[in-house]
Amino acid sequence: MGIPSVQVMMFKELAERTKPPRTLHVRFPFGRPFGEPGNQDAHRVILQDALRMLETASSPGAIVSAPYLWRREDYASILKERAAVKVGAEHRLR
Amino acid sequence: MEIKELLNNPNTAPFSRIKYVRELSEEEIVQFLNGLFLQTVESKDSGDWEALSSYLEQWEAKLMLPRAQRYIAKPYESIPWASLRKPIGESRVALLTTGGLYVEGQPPFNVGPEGDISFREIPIDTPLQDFRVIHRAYDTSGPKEDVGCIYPIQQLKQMVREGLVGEIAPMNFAFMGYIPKPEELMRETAPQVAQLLKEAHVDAVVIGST
Repeated sequence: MGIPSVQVMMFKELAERTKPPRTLHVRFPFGRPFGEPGNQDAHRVILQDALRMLETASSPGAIVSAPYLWRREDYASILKERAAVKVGAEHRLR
Repeated sequence: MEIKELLNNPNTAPFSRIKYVRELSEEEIVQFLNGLFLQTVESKDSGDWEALSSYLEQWEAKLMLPRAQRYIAKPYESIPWASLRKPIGESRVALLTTGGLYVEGQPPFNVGPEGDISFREIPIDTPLQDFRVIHRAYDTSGPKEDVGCIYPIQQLKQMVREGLVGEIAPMNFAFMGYIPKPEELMRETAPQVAQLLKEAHVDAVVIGST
């Protein structure tokens, strides 16, 4: 009985070679897997994506490439959109 | 001026992957620089700077592939796999990093050329000002300014408060990822951490790689 894990990494070629169970690939500089210092929204978005992979990745060795641009992404909007989708889904359940 | 001198790494990106372009043959360097010139002019004309970014990324991938091939090729026979057994909203989640994170009072990692396979225990209630970072192979100024870029504990705590994550493991773990002999890591310290996670009834693990 193992513990499911997901790895956030920027060295995609290495992930393709060693095949960790689940990899979220980010196109960020080495040393900043969750985003720039001070950018709490970026940290939150990447963390959410990583946790989502734990729930959704179905085949060992899955590598998902996050589409976010280093520095130029509007993470606050992404979070707002996600919150809106969630609220929408909750409304439909009622 | 030597061609390679043209490619001295800018101070703003001492650990960027593109620095390896200096190691190419002179012919390949000329190809890179010519392509860079053309792409820069095209991007300026069209306003599409993303194309220039992509150009650099394509070269970075080309440079990194042979490096990836030097690493341990097949660490395991088949990819380890465990399914998530509860929703994340009910799970105990541990946060791990290879970024050389440790806590004030603990010994720093050894950043000599032999590497360091040891790990540090990072308690959930570590005050932000007590985090320390040391590493050999990446620019640590980011996490020194904000530990969240390698270890987003604040955002994970926020997700717990919002009910999106069940709880955070009382003890989390950090390695320093410059490990030239991963076989030792796999034999000794990685199994120790796995056992500690198991004993702590951790349901899921997020690892930030640097």
